[in-house]
Amino acid sequence: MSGINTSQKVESYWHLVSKRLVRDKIALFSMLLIFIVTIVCIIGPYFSPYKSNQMGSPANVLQPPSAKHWLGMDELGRDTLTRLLYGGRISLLIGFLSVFSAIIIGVIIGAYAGYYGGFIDIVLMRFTDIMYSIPVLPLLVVLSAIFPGAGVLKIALVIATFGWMTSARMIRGLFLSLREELYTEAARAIGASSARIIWKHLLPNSLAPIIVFATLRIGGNIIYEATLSYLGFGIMPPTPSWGNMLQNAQYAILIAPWLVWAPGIAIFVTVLAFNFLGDGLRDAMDPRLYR
Amino acid sequence: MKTYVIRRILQMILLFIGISAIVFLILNVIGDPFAQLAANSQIKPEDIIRLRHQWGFDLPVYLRFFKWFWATIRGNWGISIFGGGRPTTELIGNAIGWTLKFSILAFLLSAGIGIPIGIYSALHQYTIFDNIFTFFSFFGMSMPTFWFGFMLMIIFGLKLHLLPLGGVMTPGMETTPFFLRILDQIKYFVLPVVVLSFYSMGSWTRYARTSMLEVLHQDYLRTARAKGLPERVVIIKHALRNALIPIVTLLGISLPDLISGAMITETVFAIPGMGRLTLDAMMNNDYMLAMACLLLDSLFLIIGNFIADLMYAVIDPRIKYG
Repeated sequence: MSGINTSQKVESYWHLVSKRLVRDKIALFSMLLIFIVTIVCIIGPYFSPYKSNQMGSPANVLQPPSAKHWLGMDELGRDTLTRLLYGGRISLLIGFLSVFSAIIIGVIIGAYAGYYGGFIDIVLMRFTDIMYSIPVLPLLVVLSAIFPGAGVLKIALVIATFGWMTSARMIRGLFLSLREELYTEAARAIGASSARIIWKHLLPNSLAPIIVFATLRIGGNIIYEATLSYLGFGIMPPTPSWGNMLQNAQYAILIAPWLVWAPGIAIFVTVLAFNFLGDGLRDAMDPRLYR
Repeated sequence: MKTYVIRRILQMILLFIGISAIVFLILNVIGDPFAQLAANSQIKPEDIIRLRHQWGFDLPVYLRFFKWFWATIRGNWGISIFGGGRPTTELIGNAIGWTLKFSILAFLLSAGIGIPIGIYSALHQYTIFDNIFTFFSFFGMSMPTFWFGFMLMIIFGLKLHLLPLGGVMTPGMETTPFFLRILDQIKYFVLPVVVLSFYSMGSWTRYARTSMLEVLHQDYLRTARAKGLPERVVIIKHALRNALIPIVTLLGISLPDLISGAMITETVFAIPGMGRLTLDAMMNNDYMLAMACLLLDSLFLIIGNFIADLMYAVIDPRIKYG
């Protein structure tokens, strides 16, 4: 068995992917941007002389950007840049966590539905359809009423609850086709258990579309968090998040535009980067797009 | 085929009943909608008891559901407690008109521009056009709609004084002749339609581009070219037709969005549409109005999915349903 160098094939696929990704300058730039933004949001607050909730004196309210406060101050005298960095931590964390949870749920449901087919498939897919058809808003109101408070974990789980259906459908479709591949039949022939086939063979081969899906969804979920803040269901002040900073600053657009532009540009640039990266990944990873 | 359709319709009815049960349960968990009436000292307690009995609130939840469902089937969709006791059908009727106007326009714009751009991008992959269009398609998808709409309103409404700041009609123009009213209304439509279509235009572009790209590298196109067919025929008659299949199914799935309206955009631009009606009903715990709106949304979601599946089966002759 050692004569067959199966690792060669896997390595060369990802090698090809990264080679193609590097050709896409925009996607490369986006990846760098996301990396920088994440690092800055994690480390930045330690370098700031201000705390996110440190309120200034009433005379210092709504100050425009200056040397001491690079992005000015908000209506309570807090430093906008520091809040932006803390908010970035929260928004990015919600983005990553919600997509991660949605994928885990989606994989579990989609993999078993796609691999086993038949009755299990029908039951799981009907369940997915029902969840898909339940309107989001009343569920949101109820969830907020049942679990008061608005922690990052709760918001991420709520967003995942509304988003796992798409990943489940996609993974089910993937598994339906991967199930017919020759290596699946070979694995079954040598007696591999279904669980082993699913987790050790089929799942690694469906990683590419999952990664693309995840990248594109992170951007979408960051915006979703902002929308939830608009409706009043997002992260509650005084904890900053890009979403609630944007929402709370809108009234002051004419007198303190930096308060709106800071989180707005932050969201826009970050989500744009995720979208470009996801699109670049999709172009790089799709085997049918070989040129 | 006929058996498939009948089976799907039966499934749809079951799904519809199931969804209404779930939504009903959710709304009833939230609280008693008549509680706010009790706080109003001008309403007599006997009236509240009478209202409760009329709408089944003195019954346990499961009996209440049947009573509500029976009434709904027969066309009685309840009254709006918060909206002055007007029948929900009247409120929904007014709102749906506005929503449809905006969403159909936005849909035509986003799909009508997005799909051709996507196809063009696919045909000229990696050229400067592709990059520019890619950038613009992501532009719309990378912003929260409330911010985008708000920014446009500030720029075009406040700074440039070109367009109004929301609403659907200049006050006082309800009685003017039809043609003048339409001319006036156009400027109210511009911003909301732009905001509504910008987001989905991006998705249509990406989707059309991906679908077209997938088809362009298929072997049967190579065969067609080898046969000597002109490139135009190859693209239009073979590639495009196959690329449009998944796009057409997407059209079916977009149907429910036309009805349910865009909550956020309608709130930002103060449009009295279905989205805002649903949102307000939920926030005010206007129980029957919320049920009616959500039911309508679910109905069209289920119908939209069904139409999408149906179109897929009809257009792609390879699909056989038992």
